Amino acid sequence: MLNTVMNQAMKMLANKTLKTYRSYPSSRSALVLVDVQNEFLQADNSGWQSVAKVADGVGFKQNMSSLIKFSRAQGMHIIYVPYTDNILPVFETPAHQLMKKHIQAKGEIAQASRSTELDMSILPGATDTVVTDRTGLSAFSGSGLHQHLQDESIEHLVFAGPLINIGLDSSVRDAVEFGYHATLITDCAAATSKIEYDMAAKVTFPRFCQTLLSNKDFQTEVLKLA
Amino acid sequence: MQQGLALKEQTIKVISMEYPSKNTALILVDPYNDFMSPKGKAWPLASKVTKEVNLIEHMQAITQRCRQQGWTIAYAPHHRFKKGSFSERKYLHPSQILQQKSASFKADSFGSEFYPSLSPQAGDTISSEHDCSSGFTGTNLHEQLSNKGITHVVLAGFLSNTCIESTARSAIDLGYHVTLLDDAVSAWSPVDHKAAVEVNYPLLAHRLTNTRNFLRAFHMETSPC
Repeated sequence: MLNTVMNQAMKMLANKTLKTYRSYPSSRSALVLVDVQNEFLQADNSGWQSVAKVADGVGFKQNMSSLIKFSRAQGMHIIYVPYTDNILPVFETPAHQLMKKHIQAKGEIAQASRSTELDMSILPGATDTVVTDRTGLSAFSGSGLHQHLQDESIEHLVFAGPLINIGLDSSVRDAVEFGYHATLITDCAAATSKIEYDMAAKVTFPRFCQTLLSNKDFQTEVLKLA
Repeated sequence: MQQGLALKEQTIKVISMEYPSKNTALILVDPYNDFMSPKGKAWPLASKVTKEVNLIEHMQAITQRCRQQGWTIAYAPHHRFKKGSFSERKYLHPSQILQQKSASFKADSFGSEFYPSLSPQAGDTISSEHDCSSGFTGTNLHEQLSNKGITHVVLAGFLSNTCIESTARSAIDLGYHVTLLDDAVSAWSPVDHKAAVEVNYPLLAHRLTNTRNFLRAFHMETSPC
């Protein structure tokens, strides 16, 4: 009981400060799409099938399409960080094995690429950035992402992706550690099971991610602040 | 009997192969009085899970056994709070906001001293302090471990879904073999602990075990057959 009350009090204390971070000037904000690639979007791919239940439950594809269109219209930076076959750890974790299984399912090099089946707004446009040198679960691992963001003076990172407790989790933890204001769009995220999604979105992310918003609330917030 | 012996030999082989003594480190994350002593500032919050999993006894037993084995014992200490801490950061980590308000792990105070029975000994590796959650980010821990040829790490300490999991995720991306023990870590609440040890650790750990099985594996390795 004491534990629960103290936990709530701690969260309220932190939230007061964290709310002041919510500002998304387009030139200093980037939408970072982790593992948003064919393998986890197209219906006939095992990657999509593994997350489909949770994804459909939160309206992942519709929300993702809406989020990307909105962020582009606002002039924010759009950055895709797909899971590629550059990720070759000496010691594979079950998470690596899961990712490898899905990106190799069709024997194709895993990169976000155009597809006739998908709403085209989910896929990279000509002016978007695609980071292909990532070497770990985190989008920052081994990649030039941090340097790119520093070069562009980007401070606010808005995260979305299909695997909330794998790539998204590692990436958002790193982002906050590196000094960014990180926002997770909760209904533009999914997982291979509901418990993974719920534990991440409701329990663990609030411990390290400064802002968690639905797609609708994020858009409202951006428009209000603009 | 024959089968038991074969199993024992097989286990010995697996343990020896997985944890080469010269290349393995036990990393103790934030073993501070503020977390571990009943007089500590964070004790009222973390004590529920700490007591449930019998964390202190487990950390002591693991540390003692790893020392006997000749492993590197490494400390990944949290930032010790002082006036002006984090003033250079524009966007604080949620844990930093709480640290600012509570002055937990205050520098030069009882709370930021290592818990007496888990204090470093001569020859241990002590990392520079981490500002947020990961024992690796912004510290010299990776450099120190790399210089010693460490390839395998075992984590124990605080907190299951924040500093321990962040340190594990960094270790994985840095290329280490990572072992996690579900009863050698503690969290702010049972649900935080569960989110880590039951949901995420099975995806992240190269080996997920508990203290009893971890110690038993050592026992089997060193027992005469």
